[in-house]
Parts: sequence; structure tokens; C-alpha cells
Amino acid sequence: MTHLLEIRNVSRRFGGVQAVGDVTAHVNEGELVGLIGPNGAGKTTLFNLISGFTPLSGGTVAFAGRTISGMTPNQVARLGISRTFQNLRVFPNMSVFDNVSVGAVGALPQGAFGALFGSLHRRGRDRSAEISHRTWEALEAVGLTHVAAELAANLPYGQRKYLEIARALAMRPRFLILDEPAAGLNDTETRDLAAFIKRLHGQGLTIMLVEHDMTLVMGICQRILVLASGRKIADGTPDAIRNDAAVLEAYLGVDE
Amino acid sequence: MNAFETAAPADGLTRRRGLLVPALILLLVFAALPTLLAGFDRGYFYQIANLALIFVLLSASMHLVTGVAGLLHLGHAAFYGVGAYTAALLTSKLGLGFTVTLPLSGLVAALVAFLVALPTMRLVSIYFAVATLAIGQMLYLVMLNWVDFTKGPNGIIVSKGFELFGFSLSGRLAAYYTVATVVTLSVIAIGRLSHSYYGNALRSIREDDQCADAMGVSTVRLKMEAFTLSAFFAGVAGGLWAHMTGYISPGDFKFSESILILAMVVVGGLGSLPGAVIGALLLILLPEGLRGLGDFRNIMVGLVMFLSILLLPKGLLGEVSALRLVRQQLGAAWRTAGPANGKGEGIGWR
Repeated sequence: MTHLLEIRNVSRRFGGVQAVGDVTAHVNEGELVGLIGPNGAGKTTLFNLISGFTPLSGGTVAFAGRTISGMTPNQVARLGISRTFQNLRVFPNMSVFDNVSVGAVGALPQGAFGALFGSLHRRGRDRSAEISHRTWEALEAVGLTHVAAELAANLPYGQRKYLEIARALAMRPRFLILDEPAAGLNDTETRDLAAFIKRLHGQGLTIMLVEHDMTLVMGICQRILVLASGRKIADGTPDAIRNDAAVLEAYLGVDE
Repeated sequence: MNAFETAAPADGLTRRRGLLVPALILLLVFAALPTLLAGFDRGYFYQIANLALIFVLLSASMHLVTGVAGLLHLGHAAFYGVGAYTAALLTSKLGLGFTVTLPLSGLVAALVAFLVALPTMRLVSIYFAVATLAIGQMLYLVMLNWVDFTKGPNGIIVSKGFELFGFSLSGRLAAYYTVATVVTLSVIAIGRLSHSYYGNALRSIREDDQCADAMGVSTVRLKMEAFTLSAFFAGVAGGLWAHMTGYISPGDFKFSESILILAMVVVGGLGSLPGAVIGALLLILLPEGLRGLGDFRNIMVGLVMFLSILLLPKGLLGEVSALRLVRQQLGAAWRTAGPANGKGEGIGWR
């Protein structure tokens, strides 16, 4: 059986630094996988390798049976991999609605011709109706419909986090990558976010998340990958990871 | 599901406006203003009105590439010039009329833009701005120095005025209506481009092109399109100008004109089409209105631009501050040059 995402012997060097070295891993359809590791373990680099932001130094990445290594980020995105960013990147000078519509129009492009003459024929009208529908649906999913006309820059931090997720959801991805979604949130907000991610997963979305917040990762993920110094050191259920000697060593150091 | 569908405007766009304002503008452009012009019956006023309209189109076309897509374009006037020279040369060498030359002006300008965009579009931000500056200068120098073809600094006389299927439209009022119609239709087209999901995809490139890329937006392709489309409309403006004045020379299309058009977009507000239109009207009509002040008028115009950037960072109606855009572009150049860019592929490329 093939996995939804297949990472084979992937590596990436930055000059003399081996950011990711020979990592092999997979994600199955419908899974909720956590990716953890100490600072500088290469988690974000691995995400960037998957989503096409950083070219690979070696290895291959395949998604739904197709090799995606070497593709540009927008090609990867249109295949159904959607992501958020560690340092919150919404489009500040656009309204909340327009922000989310970019995700929808990215997955379902409207060209210049469509913009000019789309309203004159049925297919063009259907296309914009579908983009609008997906946008509202994503806003509804994160509960931001009431601020749709607001400028993204004016939203409080917590809502901007959800805005970023809504934008990713508007693409109707098959696979959602969340890069530190709980960074900067307080305990209550993190709990709400955990429930929200679980709900998305319950609707059948495959999710991978990088997170520092252990309770969040241990609480919701079915399987956890652990990176340390660019290498995969463990892969298993939360319980197995909690008692894994290599993981404890990576996080706490060895007791001499 | 119905709950949020009723909350949404018809096409889901949040900035949909009523029809009253466009109707009033159309009434002004096609009824009130011509009546006024006919009442005064002075050629000078017609000239000013037509010039203002042509610059409205230039400013609107720049709005698409700089205001919406966020590409700092410093050579826009050159594409205006390509359009004007296309019309002038087709008329003087092949004897073609306005009906044929106008669309060709736009198409040739778009073609030239497409060709120069091929190698430059992957340049990042401020490097792209420098490249457009160079392209503008190169096209200007071609107009100036290819004497055999363009007659160089002597310019070209365009013997034919406006016409439609053989009917001459070169009377004052007819010429005004021709310019007004072409400009209005073009501005409506630009409005549709910028107020659409397509426009939102372009805006996302302005805001954060890497992030737009991750959302499935083909950034390089869309930048090419915005650049080419904007050159098309600048070319159309050039075609209008050539047939309107009956004489063009390279001086009309030099760097300072590009900066003037950029100033219109900045004063009006980056990202706002009404802003671009108002900016153009302001920077054409103000110097004319201040003619009484003699040489002081240019100082006054400069002062208006200076104050508008100082006091209104987002222009009159803009979505994004001009200074912020420039800073962001410098920042992007800095980032891509630094070691943080894992690609390490030369400075300023993406």
C-alpha cells in the first residue's frame, strides 16, 4: 500500500550545516502526525522540503504516488498540500475575506480572461461562485465570518492564526501542514486550537504539525516523528515516544 | 450553509460598491464635461481634458502593475511610447487608420513588455525596479537614436486623426468623445481585473510573494501577466496620444514621465483604482490651474507630492503605504541576498 506522503532518504545541507540528513518517513491518508524535536532539529526545513520552498540536496518526496521533489511551491500546493507558517504570514493590507479567497483562487485559478469576461458566461460565473463558496466555508470553519470585511492587520493575534488556517483550508487540501500553530497562544487558546485541529482531523483531513507544546502534540497526535540534529530518532505512538530513550536523551541530555 | 450565503454579497467580494457613483462619473464624463467644453469652445480646454484622460489611463494601467501586483515599475512611459510610435509608424508608413492602429498599439506594447519580462520577471523586488528603469531608458534611446526608423529627435507627424469605419472623428468634440470612450472602457476593464479573485491573487503577491506561492498562486506567471496587461493599456494610451496630438517625439516618453505616472499612483494611493484616477487628474490639472504662478507652479506640484507622501502615507485612498512597499522590497532583496536563503543562487534571484 502506498502512503499519502512518502519521504525517502531526504537530506538538505546549508553550506557546511546538515539541516536534514537522510530522513525517511511517511504519512498515511487520514493520519494526524506530530513532528517534534529540539530547536534547530530541522523540523521547519523538513516542512520546507516537502512544500517545495527549499530544494532537496538528496532523496525524494512523493505525494499521492507522484514525485513532488523539484516542483515549485505553487505546483505542490495545487496538488493538495497546504501549509501555514511558523511566523504568521497573513496578507496585512487585504481584508479577511480577500486573504482567504487567495487560498481558494490558488487551488481553483481565475485567470485574467476570467476576471474580465467571467461574468458573461456560465462557466466563469460558476467558477467565481465556487471560489466565494469555498472562502465562506473556510471562514465559517474557523469562525471568522463576522470579521470578513475587516483588514487582516487589524485582527488580534489569535484570530490571525485562525485566519492563516482558514486560508490554507480554502484550498481544500488533502494534506495540511501546520508549522507551530500554538506558538504565542496561551493555555486556553491552545486547548481551543487542539480541539479545532482534532475536529478538522475528524472530518477526514490528513494533518502534520510541528509543535513545541508537548501537551498539544501528545494529546491529539496519533503518531509522532522526532527529529534531532536533522535525523529522525524516533517514530511511534505518543506513549512509545514518551518512554523512548533516544528522545529523552535528545531533549534532556544524557545523565553521565 | 444558507446562513453565510446570505451574509455574502452577490459575488462574495467585500468591496462591491453601488451603481450610483459609477453612473454619476459616466454622466460627468459623457454629458456634463462635453457640454462645458462646448460652452467654452476653446481648443486649449479640449487639449487639457484629453491629456488628463490619457494620463488617467496611464495611471490606471500602472495601478494594475504597481498598486495591485506590487511591482515597482520605473519604465512605464516607455510602453506608452511604444504604443504611440506603433500608431505613428503604422499611419505614416502604411497609411493605416485609427481603428486599426489603436488595438495594434496596445498589442505591440504588450508584446514588447512580454519579451522584456521573460528575463526580468524572476528578479526580486528592487532589482526588478532597476531592470524596468533600464528597459525604459533603452526603449527611449531606441526612439531617440534609431533615426532611420523613428526619425529620432525630430519626431513623427501623425497625419490621421481619430476615425471610426471611415467616419472622421477629428473634430474637437468628436475627438474628446473618442478619447473618453476608449479611456472609460479601458478603466472599466482594469477595474474588473483588479476587483476580482484574479486581482486578489495579484495583491497576495504584493503582500508576500512566497506565501502567495504556497497558496498555489503561480507568482512568476501572474507577475508577467500584470506587467504585460499594464503595458497593453499604456500602449493604447500611446495610440490615443499619437492620433490626438498629430505629432510625437521621444521627449514625451522619457524617464520623468514614468516618474510622473508613478507619482499619480502614489498620491492617489497604491492599490486603489479610484485613487489612481484622482491622482492623475490632480497632477495634470493642478499644474495647468497654477499656470498663473509661472515657474512657481512646479514647486507647488512638488510640494503637493511631498506633503501627500508625508501626511498621507497610503495616498488618498490607498491600501498600502508607498514607503512600506519600498522598504519591504529592499528588505526582500536583503533577505534573498543573505545566507538565510538556502538556495544560495546569486543575489536578487528567486
